[in-house]
Amino acid sequence: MLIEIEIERRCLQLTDSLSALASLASSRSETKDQFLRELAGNITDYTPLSPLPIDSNTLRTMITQVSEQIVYRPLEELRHFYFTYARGAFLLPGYPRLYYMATNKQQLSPSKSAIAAIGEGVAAILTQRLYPGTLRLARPYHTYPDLVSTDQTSTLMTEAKATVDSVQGIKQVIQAEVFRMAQHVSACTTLDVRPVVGLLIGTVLLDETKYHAVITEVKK
Amino acid sequence: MSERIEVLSREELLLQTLTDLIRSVVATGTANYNPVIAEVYAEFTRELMVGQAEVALGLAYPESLLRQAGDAIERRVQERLGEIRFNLSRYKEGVAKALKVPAKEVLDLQEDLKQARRQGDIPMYGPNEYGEHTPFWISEVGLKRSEIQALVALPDDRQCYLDFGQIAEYCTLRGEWFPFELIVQDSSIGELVFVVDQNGSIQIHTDNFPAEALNRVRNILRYIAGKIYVEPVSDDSEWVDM
Repeated sequence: MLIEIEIERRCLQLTDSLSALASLASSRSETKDQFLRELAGNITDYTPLSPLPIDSNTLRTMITQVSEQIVYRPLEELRHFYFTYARGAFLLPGYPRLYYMATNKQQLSPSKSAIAAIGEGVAAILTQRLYPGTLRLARPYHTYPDLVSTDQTSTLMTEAKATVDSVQGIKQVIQAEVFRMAQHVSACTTLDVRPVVGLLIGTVLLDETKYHAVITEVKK
Repeated sequence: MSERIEVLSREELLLQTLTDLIRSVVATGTANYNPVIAEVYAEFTRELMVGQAEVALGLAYPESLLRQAGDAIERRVQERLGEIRFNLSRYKEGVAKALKVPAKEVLDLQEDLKQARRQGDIPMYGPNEYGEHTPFWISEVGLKRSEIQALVALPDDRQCYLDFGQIAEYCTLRGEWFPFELIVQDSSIGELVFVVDQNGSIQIHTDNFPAEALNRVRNILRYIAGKIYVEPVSDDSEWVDM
């Protein structure tokens, strides 16, 4: 099954002032708002890139390689219990999961682990396909970020987010995460011997065969 | 794509990266803690721990497993560094603390793996295959008496090259960098998608494949791996590292 990933990308160039504000906010939380206000002049608008067709087998392989989520076959999980059911298809043996006592239709709640696993898989694919020459180095163990890669000249730090909500929804999630990535890139740039690029990659699962990814590149 | 692409085994990639990073750090003369060295060191430790557990070395404590992996990394890095001296102890201590839980899990799994092997539940690696250019392995993913979930081919050497030009007429290549997709139109099974990852592995998912189709897919995988795994040649002008 072929999945088409629509992609938008924007870039944030961290200045010394923004880096300092990000660091300051670790001790003074109100500085975070100041950081977000001053961000505006240093970040580009989202620009659409060419859509990327990916086979579901490739995504499945990459999820196995990079995801820490404990979930088996996340693509099938979402297809069956979310996308199919959301379209009104009746699930055998006659009841949807966790709705035994429900007296009226409630908001569907898809598996968050499955969504997160797919988001990590998509982020790993985009990190390599959009930055040719990049090799995955490490999947930090239960810590930030989700993936560390290199293209031999710089270090790429990827953090993945995913939702089934909407493009606008994932953009808000990524906007809220920019601050944390800015802190991380600032610190790593000071310590590492190579340039560090932060990649915030958010994915909306619009349906089984169509995803929309938004990427924020953070550089210093 | 006509260029040949260098692929390194997971261990070789981590070892080369770690060594390159250390050389850069030494060259700049900085005494800073390097977060990327820490990440690569941790990943390398995990890789070696799993490798040690798979060959059933029979270590009793997580600390022993971590110490052995750390010692192996230091020894191998130093061999590559030659005259250059670099102290990895500040990274070793942090990684040992962070990976204590996975080390314990690896040891627990090692016992289960020994038991499963005694009972014949785990498929053994197949015999070494000899392609047209360089040897490789084909392994099955899944329990022996259960479904084979995937077939994976992997180069035998820690470094080799991929030459997709060798199979250009047999299948379609999708993607300009890893993970590549090789699309084969088989007359009896239909479209087959093989995923080629950065360590040179060629993988295909085979859930619900009947035995006959599985054998056919295994032969196709053997053919592809036998063609695209090639060795470096001495004349550098014919090779392009991407």
